[in-house]
Amino acid sequence: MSDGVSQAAWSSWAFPFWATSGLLVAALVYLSGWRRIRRSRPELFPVWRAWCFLGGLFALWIAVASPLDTLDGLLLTAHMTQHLILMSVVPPLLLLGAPAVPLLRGLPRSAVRDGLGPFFRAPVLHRAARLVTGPTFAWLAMNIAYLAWHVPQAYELALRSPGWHEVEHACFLVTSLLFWFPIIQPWPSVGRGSRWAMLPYLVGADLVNTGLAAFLTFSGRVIYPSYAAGPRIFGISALGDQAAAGALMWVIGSIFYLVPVAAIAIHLLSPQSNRLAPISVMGTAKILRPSIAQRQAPRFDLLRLPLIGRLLRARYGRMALQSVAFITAVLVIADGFIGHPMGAMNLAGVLPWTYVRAFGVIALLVLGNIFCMSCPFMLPRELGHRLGLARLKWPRWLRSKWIAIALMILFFWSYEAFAIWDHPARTAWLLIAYFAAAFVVDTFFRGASFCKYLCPLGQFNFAGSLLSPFSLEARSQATCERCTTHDCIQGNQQQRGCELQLYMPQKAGNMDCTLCMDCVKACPHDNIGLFAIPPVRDVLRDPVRSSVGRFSSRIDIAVLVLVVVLAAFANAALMVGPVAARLSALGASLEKAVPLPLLGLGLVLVFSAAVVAVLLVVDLAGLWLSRSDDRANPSGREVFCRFSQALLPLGLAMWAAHLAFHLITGWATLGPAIHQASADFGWHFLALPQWRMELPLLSANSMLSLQLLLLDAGLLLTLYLGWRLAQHWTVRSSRAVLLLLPWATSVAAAYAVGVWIVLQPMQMRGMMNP
Amino acid sequence: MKPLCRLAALLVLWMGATGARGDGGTMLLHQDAGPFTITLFAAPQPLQVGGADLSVMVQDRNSEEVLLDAVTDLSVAPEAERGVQQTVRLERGQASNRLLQAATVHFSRAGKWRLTLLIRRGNDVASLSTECTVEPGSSRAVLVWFYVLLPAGVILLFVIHQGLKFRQKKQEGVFRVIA
Repeated sequence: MSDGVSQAAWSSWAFPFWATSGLLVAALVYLSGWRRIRRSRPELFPVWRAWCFLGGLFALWIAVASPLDTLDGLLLTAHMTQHLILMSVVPPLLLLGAPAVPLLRGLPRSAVRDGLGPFFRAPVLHRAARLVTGPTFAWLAMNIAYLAWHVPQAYELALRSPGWHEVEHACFLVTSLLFWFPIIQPWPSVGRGSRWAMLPYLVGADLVNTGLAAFLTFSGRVIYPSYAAGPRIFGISALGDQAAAGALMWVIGSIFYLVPVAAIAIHLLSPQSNRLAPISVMGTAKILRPSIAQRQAPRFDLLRLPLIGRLLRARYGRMALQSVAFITAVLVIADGFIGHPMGAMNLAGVLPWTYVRAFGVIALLVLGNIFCMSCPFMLPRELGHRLGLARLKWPRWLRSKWIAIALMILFFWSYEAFAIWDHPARTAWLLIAYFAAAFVVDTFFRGASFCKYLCPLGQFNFAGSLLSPFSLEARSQATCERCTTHDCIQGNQQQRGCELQLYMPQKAGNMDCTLCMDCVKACPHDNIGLFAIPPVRDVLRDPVRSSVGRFSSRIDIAVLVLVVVLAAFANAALMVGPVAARLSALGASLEKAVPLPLLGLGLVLVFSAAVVAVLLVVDLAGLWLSRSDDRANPSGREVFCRFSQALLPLGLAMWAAHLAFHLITGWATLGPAIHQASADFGWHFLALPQWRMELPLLSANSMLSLQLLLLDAGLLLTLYLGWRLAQHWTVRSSRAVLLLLPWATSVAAAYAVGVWIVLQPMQMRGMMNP
Repeated sequence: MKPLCRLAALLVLWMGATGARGDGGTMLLHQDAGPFTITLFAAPQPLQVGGADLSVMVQDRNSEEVLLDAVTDLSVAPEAERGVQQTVRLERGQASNRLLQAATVHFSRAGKWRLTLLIRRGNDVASLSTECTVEPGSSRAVLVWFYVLLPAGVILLFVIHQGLKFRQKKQEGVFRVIA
């Protein structure tokens, strides 16, 4: 065998994404829980336990990612080594890490208590666990699985089908975990029966292994036809490979059974048993329940992180982000006017509509309202403020979201009606209009009136940030109560306070927060952090929010959320063939009677009003069905407002699925567009662009999987929010179901529409993959 | 493409695996041709309309040593329309198993297809053909059904969860009253 072939074989690693990610997450969760338990019970969890568990995970990764996996179709020896690792190395190592309690303690407390708790307390689960971890069941399960999968028909099936191959490996791993469980008795499980029984238990398994290994070793013919028919590598014949695999199973497999036999025997015969004493179920519960000190463990604060925290808190941190965004916006405007007329080859066509939109939605879901934080339109408006003309207060009767909602509908309509994505000059004009509006409004009106009451992009982000996992909050309410200056809202000589009138002690959630960090910089007590929060908290709670009030009384905010949700479906639907064709036909038939853009606006308004009306009727129907005398029924207004907000996950999921499509198919457009812009500006330090076809980042099936997965997540989160709200309003579960039913039906219908949309061929409409 | 873009794309490519997996699959052909022994693998099996991974192992006919420097081109064409042919170069970089050369081939329709391999190494050239049957694609439909039924499964689990929670709360209430 040449060195090259050997090197090629050894470099045949597979790196499976999901398996690798899953193992990494398991390692992180275990380590987090292990560290927590060690604080109170270091004697139970010495360092070697963590090493064992991590070693088990690493061995599992080796089995599924190393050349053993890629060569298993060619070499039976490689395949048997892989099975040995899965059955005899991984399970004992994982169980020696006593993983049950560390894994539970490593998860969020609420997930364990509310999510897994009811299952763990269910008697049927206890009975099932007792059955499958019992020695008889475990011994039979492992040995039957072991023998059954080595029957030639089953083995060939696994070799032919990747899916069955994975089932085979899962069978080996799971049954082997059960097999090793009574031997290792991972804490806090309690041993059943005599430890002496483990000796025949292990010896019996070794006899089964020896029988099969001997059969493979001494058989005069190749048992598995695939190896006989396939190519031979490394100069080993198929029969030689089979004999080697059998010998490996025999010798190494026996060592894995007989060494524990010796260890258990020595241990039982030794005068003093030094085993870890099993503890009662109550004891486990005590360890699972964190102490008061641990319960008050500090929350994760993004502003405490070394680099990001310093940048966000820095005096000119936001301005630095805004300056980058401002320069980019200026370049986009310039290229929009003088650059290539094709949207897909111009910065004004590529940057805002392919990249910024998609990353904006991703940022909302993983971090927060990053777009408003780095908003370029606010930079010239600062100049307007400095002119000292901002003396007017925004009129009280306009202090709602209604104008912003109208502007948002206008924005979505004009995007479609004037094909802004495909006309760089129109995108440039839109940006100029935005700069001008922000400058004029905030030059004459105090505070951030434009952001709070007018900006359609801002309202989109405010609505979306209700699901964001981070929120600016006071570190200590006691410090706020002692504070007499209220700099977070009043400001001081060095730093202005919150322009959106969000008073930190009463601020709840992200509505109206632009993450400008003014409050953080103004607070003299350094008492404000950017904390991780459960993403559904904002929608589930309804306290009186500073400058916002209760969500249940804000119809304008409910309609704002509905517009965001509706626009998600409408914007995506207009890109798919069947809808575009129908609308074109309708436009052609009515064009003589009504101008096309006006017809579009009319359709948008009628459609929006119809959907809002239908939802109102649906909510009221649920309320009527669930009416009772048990408790004061919620008002129709409250149900409408809060059920509308609960639709947000599905709407954002639709936005994410749609914009991910553009980002993934047009992911390589930015580079050539920058080169094109540089050529258009007459800057020759960059080479001319090379426009050529690139494959999308994901295959068609992977893209569809991603889109459907996003919609699934949106649907489930929306239904969960609806259920929690319905439970809050009713005493009995049956009433909650009745209240939820009409609304949930409309949610399911919206989900079905979303699935239908992503299954249709989508037009790139001016965007392309170069 | 810029190096930075390549780096950023790496993670997504890793997740989505647009390229060929190329760690084998089911053997379609194992045959001697000229000085070579050629083995052709395909995945998925049976082949379906859409993308498929095709991988080839080229060995020396006499010594059975794997020849890593052989250049292999694969042409595929539907039997009904021999003129419509796509040819791809099989690459070692596309295969997880570095003893193979692989590429993704797109089968646009169901029916019989002819696969032709052209192998060159130095002055040695060999060619061989085989036929395969491509079945109508069902992977997309399976995918859609899986993801549409996934929420139903989660909802069922949630209903069980809520039922257990309700029952346990009720029992706790009874115990409290007895106490």
